[in-house]
Amino acid sequence: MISITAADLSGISPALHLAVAGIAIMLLDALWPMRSKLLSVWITLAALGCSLTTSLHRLTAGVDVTLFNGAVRMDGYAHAFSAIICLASTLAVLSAPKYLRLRGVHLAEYYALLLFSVCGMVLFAAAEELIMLFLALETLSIPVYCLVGFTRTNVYSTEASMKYFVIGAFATGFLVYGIALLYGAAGSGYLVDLRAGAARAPGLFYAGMTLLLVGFLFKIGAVPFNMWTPDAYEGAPTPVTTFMAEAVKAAPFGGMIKVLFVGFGFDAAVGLWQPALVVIAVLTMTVGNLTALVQTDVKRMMGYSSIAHSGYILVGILAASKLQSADALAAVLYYLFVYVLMNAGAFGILILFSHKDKDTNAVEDLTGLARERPWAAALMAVYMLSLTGLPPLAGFFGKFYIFSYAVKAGYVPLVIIAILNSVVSAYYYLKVIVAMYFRGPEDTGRAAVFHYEGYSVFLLAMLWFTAWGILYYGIHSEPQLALARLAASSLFATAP
Amino acid sequence: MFLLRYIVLPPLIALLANLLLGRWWGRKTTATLACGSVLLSFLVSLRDSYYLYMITLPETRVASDVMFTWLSIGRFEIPVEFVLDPLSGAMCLIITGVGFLIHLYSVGYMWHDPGFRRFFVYLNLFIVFMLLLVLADNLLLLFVGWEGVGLCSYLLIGFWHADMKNASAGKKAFVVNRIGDLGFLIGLLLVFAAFNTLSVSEMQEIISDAIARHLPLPLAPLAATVICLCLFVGACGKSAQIPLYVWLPDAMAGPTPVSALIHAATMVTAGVYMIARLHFLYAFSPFASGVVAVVGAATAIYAAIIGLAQNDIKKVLAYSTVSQLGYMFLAVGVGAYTFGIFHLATHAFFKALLFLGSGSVIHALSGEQDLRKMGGLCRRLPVTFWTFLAGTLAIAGVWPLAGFFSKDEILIAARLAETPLISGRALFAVGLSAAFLTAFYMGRLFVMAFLGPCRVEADKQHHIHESPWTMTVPLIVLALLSAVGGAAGVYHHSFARWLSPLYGAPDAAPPAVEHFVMAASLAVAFGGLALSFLFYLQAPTLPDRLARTAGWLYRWVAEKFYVDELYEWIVVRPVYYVGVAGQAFDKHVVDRAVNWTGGGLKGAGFLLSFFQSGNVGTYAIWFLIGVSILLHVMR
Repeated sequence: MISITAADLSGISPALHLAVAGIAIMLLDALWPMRSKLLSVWITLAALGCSLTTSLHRLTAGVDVTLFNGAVRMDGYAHAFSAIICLASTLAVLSAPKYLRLRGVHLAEYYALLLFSVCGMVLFAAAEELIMLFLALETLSIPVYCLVGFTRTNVYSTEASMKYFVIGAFATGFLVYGIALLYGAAGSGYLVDLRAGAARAPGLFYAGMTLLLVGFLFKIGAVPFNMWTPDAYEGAPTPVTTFMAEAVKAAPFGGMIKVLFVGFGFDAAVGLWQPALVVIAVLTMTVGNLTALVQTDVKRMMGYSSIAHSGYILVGILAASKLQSADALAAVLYYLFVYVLMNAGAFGILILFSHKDKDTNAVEDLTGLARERPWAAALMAVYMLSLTGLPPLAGFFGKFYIFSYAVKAGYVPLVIIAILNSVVSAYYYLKVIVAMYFRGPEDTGRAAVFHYEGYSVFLLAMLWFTAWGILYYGIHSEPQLALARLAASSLFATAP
Repeated sequence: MFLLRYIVLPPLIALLANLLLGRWWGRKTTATLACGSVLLSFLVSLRDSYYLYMITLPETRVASDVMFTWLSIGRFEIPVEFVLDPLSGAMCLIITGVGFLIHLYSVGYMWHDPGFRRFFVYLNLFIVFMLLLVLADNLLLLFVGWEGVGLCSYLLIGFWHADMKNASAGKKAFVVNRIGDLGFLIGLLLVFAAFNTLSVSEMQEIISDAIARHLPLPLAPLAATVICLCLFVGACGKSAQIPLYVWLPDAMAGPTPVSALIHAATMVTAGVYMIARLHFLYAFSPFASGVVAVVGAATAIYAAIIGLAQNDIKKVLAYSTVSQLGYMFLAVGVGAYTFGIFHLATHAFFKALLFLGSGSVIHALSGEQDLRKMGGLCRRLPVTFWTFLAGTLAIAGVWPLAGFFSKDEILIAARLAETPLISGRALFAVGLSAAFLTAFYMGRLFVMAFLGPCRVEADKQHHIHESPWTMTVPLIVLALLSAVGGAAGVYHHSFARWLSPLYGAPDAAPPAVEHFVMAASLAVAFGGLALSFLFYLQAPTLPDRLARTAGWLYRWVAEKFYVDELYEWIVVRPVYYVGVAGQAFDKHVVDRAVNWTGGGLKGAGFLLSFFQSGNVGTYAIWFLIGVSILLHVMR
C-alpha cells in the first residue's frame, strides 16, 4: 500500500501549484465563460509566479527532499530547472494574449494546457525513476501537441500538430522500449540502480541506454532526430513557438542530464554515451547552422537556430561530464537561462508585428523596421546580437563559459568546431539586423509590410524584461552563476 | 560630506536632456540647460574645494567617491572612483569656471548656427569627459576621459563638417592623437605590469610603503624611464608638443569657442596634468624628466618662431598655445610641478580670453580671420579692445598681470634646474628667448588687429559691431582674472601652499637669481612689445622689407618649417601606399576566399535543406537510420 503524505505534497508544491491552477482554469471556463479569458491569464501568471518563487526560495535554502517512495526528488537541481522553466513559461504566457485575441482563439484552455505541460516539465527534472520519468515526459508533451494545433482552422497549424504528434509518438515508442530494456537489465527502475545493469546484462543495457538516449535527443532536436523542429516551429501559433523554443527546449535537458550523470555515470565501462554525444553535438551544431543560413522565414530560421543551440549545450554537458565539476554544469544551466531570454524576446518581436490574418515571419517583412519602429528594432537587434554571441551581452558569456570549460576538459577540436559554427550563425542573425537597419522598402520593391496593431502591456513587459536581462545578466552574471552552482553541486552529490 | 559625483553629473544630465528631448524645446532652454549645468558643476566644485580647504591637516586633504564597480575580472577591479585632492580641485575649478564662461560666450557666438543644439551637446560632453579625466583615481578611467575629450575635440573641430577642410582637420587631430595614445596605452600596460594596479593612490602607497620599509622598489630605474617616456608620448600627442604638435594649428578650423575651451584652456593641458598627477613616477627617472624639459623648451621657442610669421589671427594664437604648453612641460620637466600647474591656470585665463576676443573680432568682421585685413578696430569694438589688451599684456608677461608671475617662476625654476641632459642656464636662455618672441608676436597681433589704419574690406565695414552681452561678459570676467589671477596666486604663495600636500613647499630661490630673472623677463616683455609697436605701428613698411631681404628664411618660417610637408613624405605617403597594397590584397585574395567560403556554406545549407522534405515518413526513416547507427556504435 503506497500512501501519500502531506510532506510529499508540500515537497512537489512547485508542480502542484501549476496543476491546481490548470484545473481551476478549466472549471472557471465552464462556470463563467464570459470572463474567464483575462482572468485565466492572471491565474496562470500567479501560479507560475508562485512556483518560481517557491523554487528559488527552496533552491537558496538548500531544500533536498525525496518524495513518493523515492520516485521524485526535489533537490537544488530540480528546483533550479523548475525556476528556469517557470520563468520561460511566464515569458511565453505574456506573449500569448494579444496574438490569440487577434486570431480569435483566445480561449482559457490555452492556459490550462500550458500549465499542465509545465507541470510535467517540473516533474521531469525531478524524476528519480524511469516510470516517473516517462509519465512526466508525456505530461509535458501531449499538451504541446494540442497547443501546436491551437489555431485549428489554420491548415499549417493543424498539419504541424499532426506531424509533431506522429513523429513524437514514434520517438516515445523508442523511449518506452529503452525503459523496458533497462529495467530488464538492471532489475530496478531507479536511476541510481541502472548502472548495475551494465555488468549483469550488457547487451540489454546498452540497447536500452541507446534507445532512452534517442528519446531525449528527439526532444532536444538533435541531429538526426531534429526533422520535426522547423516544421512544428513554423506551423505553430507564434506564442506556442515561443513556448516550444524556450520551455519545451530547456525541460528535456533537465531529465537528460540527470539520467546521464546519475543513471549511467562516467565510468569508461558505462560511459559509452560520451563519444556518441560528441559526434551528435558536432552534427547538430553544423547541420542546424548551415540549414539556417538559407532560410527566409524567421520562425523557421529560429527553429534551425534552436537545433544549433542544442549542439552548444551538448558541448557543455560533455565538458561537465568529463570534468565532473559542478562549475561546468552551472555553465550549462546559465546558458539555458540566457537562451530562454533571447528566444522569448526574438519571438516576441514577431508577435508584436503579427496581424489578423498573417504573421510577420519572413526576414523581408522586417525591412526598414528601424525607421518606423526604432525601439522594437533596437530590441530585436539586442536579441539577435546576443544569439550571435557578441559581448557584452549575456549570449556571449553563456557561450564563453561553456566553451572555456570544454577547453579545460580537453575537447579542443569540438570547441573549434563550435566557434566556427557561431561564426557561421552570425550570418543569419545579422541578416535580420541588416534587413531592419540597412534596407528600406526601396530595396525590396514593395511597401513595408509589418503592422503594428496596438500593443499589449504583457508583451511589452516581456520584451523589456528580456532585453534588460540580456544586458544586465551579461555584465552581472555572478548571482545567476552562484545559483546554478548550487543546483549543479546538488546533482553531483548524488552522481557516482 | 563631499559631493564629487555631482560635479560630473549635471553636464551629463543636461546633455542627455538636450540630446533626447531638445527638439521639443527652443534654443533658450537648450542654452540655459547647457550653461546652467556647467555653472552648477562649478559651484559644486567650489563647495567641495572649500570643504577640502577646511580640512586642517594638509596631508589628509583627499576625498573620494566610489560610484560603482565598472569592471571586475577575478581579483582585478576597476571602480568608477572620483578623487578630489588639491590638484584635481584646482583643475575642476578651471574646467568648470572657464568652461562656464565659454559656454555663455558660445550662446551668442553660435546663436544663428543651425547646429546650435548639437554644439552644446558636444560641449557638455566634453566637460563631462574632462572632469572624468581629472577626477579619476584609476588610470584606466583617466584613459576613458582622455579618449573621450579626444573624441569631443574631433567632433568639434569638424563641427562644420560640410566643408572638407574642417573634416580633414578633425581627422588629422584624431590620427595624430592616436599615435600619442598608443604610447600612453603602452605606458599604462607597463604600469600595470610593474604595480599590478592602475589606481594612482595605490601606486603611491606601494612606493611609499617600499621606501618606509626599505624594500626594493617595484620599479627599476630603466623601467621607470621607459614608462615615463611612453606616457610622455601620450602627453605630446594630447598637448601638442614636438613632434606631434602639427594637429593643433589645423584644429583652429573649429568654432572659436571650441578653440578657446578645448584647444587652449583645458584639453590640451591634459598632458601636463597627467605628468603632474604621476609626478612620483617621474621622480624616479631624472632622464625622462630631462626629456620632458628639453622637449618643452624646444617646443616653446620653436612654436613662438612660427607664430611670428602667421597672418591668420587664430593661427598665431594656436602657435602661441603650443609655445605656452611648452613652458608648462619645461616646468614639470624640471620638477616645478606647482608652477607648471600655476601657468596652466593663468594660461587658461588669458588664452581663453585671447581666443574669445579673437572670436569677437571674427564675429564682428563677418568671419574675416586675416590680420592684414583688420586694423583700427579699437574704437569700433571697445570692450573687445580693452579686454584683449589685458590678455596681450598678461601673456607677454608684463607686471603685475597673470602671465608675469607664472612665467617668471618657471624661468627661475629652469635657471636653477639640474637635469642630466642639459644645463639649467641653457633652458633658461631658451625660455627667455621664447618669452621675448611671445611678447613680439602678441604685440604684432594686437597692433595689426586693433591699431593703425582700418584695412577691413569695404563690404564688411558697415557691419562691424560690438558683440552681445553673452559674449562680452565672459571677456570682462576673463580679463579681470588675467589681470589679478597671477598676483592672487603668488600672494603669500597661496597657490603653492594649496598644492603643497602633493609637491611639498617650494624652495625659496636665492634672491640674486630671483631678481635677475625678474628683471630679465620684464626687459624682454617690454622689449618685445616695444619692438613690435615700432615695426608695425611706426614703420609698417619695415617688416616687409625685412621679409624680402631674408626671403628664404621668412618663407621657411611662414610655411611652418615645412614640417607638414615633411610628415606627408616620410609618414603619410608610405602608410598610404601600404594601405593601397593592403586594399588590393584584401580585394583580390581575402575577399575572394571569404566569398567562396560563404558560397560553399550556403550551398551546403541548400543541400541539407533538401533532407527536410516535409514528409513525416522521410523523417521516420532518418530517425531509424540514426537509431541503427547509434545501436551499432554503442554496444
